[in-house]
Amino acid sequence: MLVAAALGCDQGGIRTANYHTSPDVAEKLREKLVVQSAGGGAAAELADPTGFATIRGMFKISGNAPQMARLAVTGDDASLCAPGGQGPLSEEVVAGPGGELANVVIFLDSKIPQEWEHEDYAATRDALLAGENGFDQKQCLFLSHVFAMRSTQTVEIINSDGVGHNTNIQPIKGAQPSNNSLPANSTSVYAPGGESPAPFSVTCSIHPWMKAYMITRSNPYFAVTNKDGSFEIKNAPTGVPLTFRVWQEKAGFLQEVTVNGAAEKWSKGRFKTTLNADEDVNLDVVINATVFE
Amino acid sequence: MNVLLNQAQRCLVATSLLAVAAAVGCGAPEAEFRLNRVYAAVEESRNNVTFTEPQMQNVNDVVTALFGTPDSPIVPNLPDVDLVSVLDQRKLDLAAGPVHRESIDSPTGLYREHCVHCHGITGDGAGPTAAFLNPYPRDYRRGIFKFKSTPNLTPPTDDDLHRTLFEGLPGTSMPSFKLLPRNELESLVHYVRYLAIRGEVERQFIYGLVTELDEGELLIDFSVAGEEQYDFVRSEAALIVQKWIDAEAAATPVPARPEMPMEESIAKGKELFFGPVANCVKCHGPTGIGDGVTNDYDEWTKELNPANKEPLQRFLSLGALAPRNSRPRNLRMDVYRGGRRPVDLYWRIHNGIAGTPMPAAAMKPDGAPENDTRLTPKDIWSLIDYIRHLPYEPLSKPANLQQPTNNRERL
Repeated sequence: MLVAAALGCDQGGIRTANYHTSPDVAEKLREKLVVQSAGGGAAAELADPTGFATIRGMFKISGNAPQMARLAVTGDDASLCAPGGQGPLSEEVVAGPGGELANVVIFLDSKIPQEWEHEDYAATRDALLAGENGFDQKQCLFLSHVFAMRSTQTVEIINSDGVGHNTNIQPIKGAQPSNNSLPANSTSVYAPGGESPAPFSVTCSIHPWMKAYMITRSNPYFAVTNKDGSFEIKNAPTGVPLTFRVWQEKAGFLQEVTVNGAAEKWSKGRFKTTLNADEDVNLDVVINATVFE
Repeated sequence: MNVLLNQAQRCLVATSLLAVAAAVGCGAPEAEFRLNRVYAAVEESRNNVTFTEPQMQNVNDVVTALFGTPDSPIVPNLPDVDLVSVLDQRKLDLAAGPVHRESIDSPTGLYREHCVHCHGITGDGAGPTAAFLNPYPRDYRRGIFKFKSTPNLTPPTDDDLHRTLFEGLPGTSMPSFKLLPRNELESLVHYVRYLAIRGEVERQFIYGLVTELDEGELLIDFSVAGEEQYDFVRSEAALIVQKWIDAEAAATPVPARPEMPMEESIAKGKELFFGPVANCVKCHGPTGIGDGVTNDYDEWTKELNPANKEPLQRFLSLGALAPRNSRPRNLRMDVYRGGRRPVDLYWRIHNGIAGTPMPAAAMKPDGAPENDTRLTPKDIWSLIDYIRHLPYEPLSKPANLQQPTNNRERL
């Protein structure tokens, strides 16, 4: 009997369960996917924005912000990368003394037509982000731990170290992947060429503790919180429904939050809003420290 | 085990003869692709979300609708995409299904005959033998292949995949399938590409559960009206397929090796190997035996986040193979997985090796000033000459003549 069992009376039983799809379900889906219903693609007529408004605010942690571990520096660049034998601290959660939370990304998730962008953003569309606006690394750390840019922009990748790095950019979707060697004290450029729906990781293979995140968006409505937890998104279109999304490295898309004193549940980091013209919207967002556990 | 015995018992009742039962396989269930639950768990862990069972079932349903089953694969019907050059139904049919030959030259089931024991039914690189091999067999489902002519993360060309099957990958468990007739190799190339595209589309659907859909929302929900959900599924699939179609014309051109005395070129290559621009020494080590940076991971492993033990246990329980570090190649063995021809080495150095820590070389752009120290095609040829010379250079005299200068520069 054992022989029979071993020889294949059941090929699936000893593995983790699989999902089964019946031929009928597959066929029904296939028909739906092939046949394009007439007129189905016509987009609903969009109302035009009434003006522009600014969103600003602050992200804070309530409770004790987690202590970040010191990263293990390996290899023969230790004298540069870990001065005094001390490796850098992990930047998974960077919080100020009052819980001010840096490196939170807040971005417009809705697809908007280009005409909705405020004219002040026109010049940013094809800009080259260079110098202090570029993506720099020093002492084997990415200086922008979370870096947001427009997908139509080009960014200068800078190596301010006297040792070589490589910049391994790995978007999951939309933007171009790239893994180029970056010699000591040199620069190269990266053009994402597409929008990423979420932040993705950037690493260095020579110094495996180095990690940063990038997000590339086609519209200009995004911000990354500063060291003091603050952010500002200027001149967002008003009078039209907008969906924003909020992400933090350790917590992922933020879900349980307190906004201006009221508890809210953001489904996978999303919140919807319709702004009023010339309004200044203030969002004070508090995140319970338990989400970082 | 109970389940197995029970089934075996039922089986015995049906046939009454153990030997017969074993021989005919007791009507083994139809082969099935396995949903990429490891990747789903990775995204759940990264984003602190939980996918529902109906969502997982729905992804499985939609992927099955587009691509069929291991016994009846189908080429997805996508508007405005002519994909016969990358997925030819007739070729898939030769490679798919159970192993069978009507006559000596009309086989079917080629994938299960030659590939499945290592690469698995789903192309997940986790066939029955996989755990015993080092390196592990390739998991096709990311669509990343290492040894190819195209830029870093562009898919391989038809020729690239064909070369891997024809030559095998020296230094790994991947043998050469040189003895198969051309048409059988071709159908296996199409089938591998089919599994890769299928796997990539499945990953994008799972990623879409995080990035596009709300909690509990299905990719395709019959109870919801609207064409958008079908558009999303079609466009995700079309994006992946298009990438493979475009790759066919994306091979990196290789200029001929400039005329230069070999010894001079080897010396130049050595200088570059240890120099701060090519920086090969960092990972391949001062003697070239691959003992530089040895604690990084390849992209297949990196997403399992091996340093974080708790989620890792879950990934392993769902079928991920135990993580191993990515090892830089020992360049003194005279064994090159991706082929030993100079053109192969040119592509490896110029484009890097996709999915691994090996980056693309920092090339000097056209029109760069004279004093720009980045690499030229001629430099790449010198590196190739040096690397091909390395196995014949005595190990007792490590080639570190340039070291003092470099150390100063690094500090």
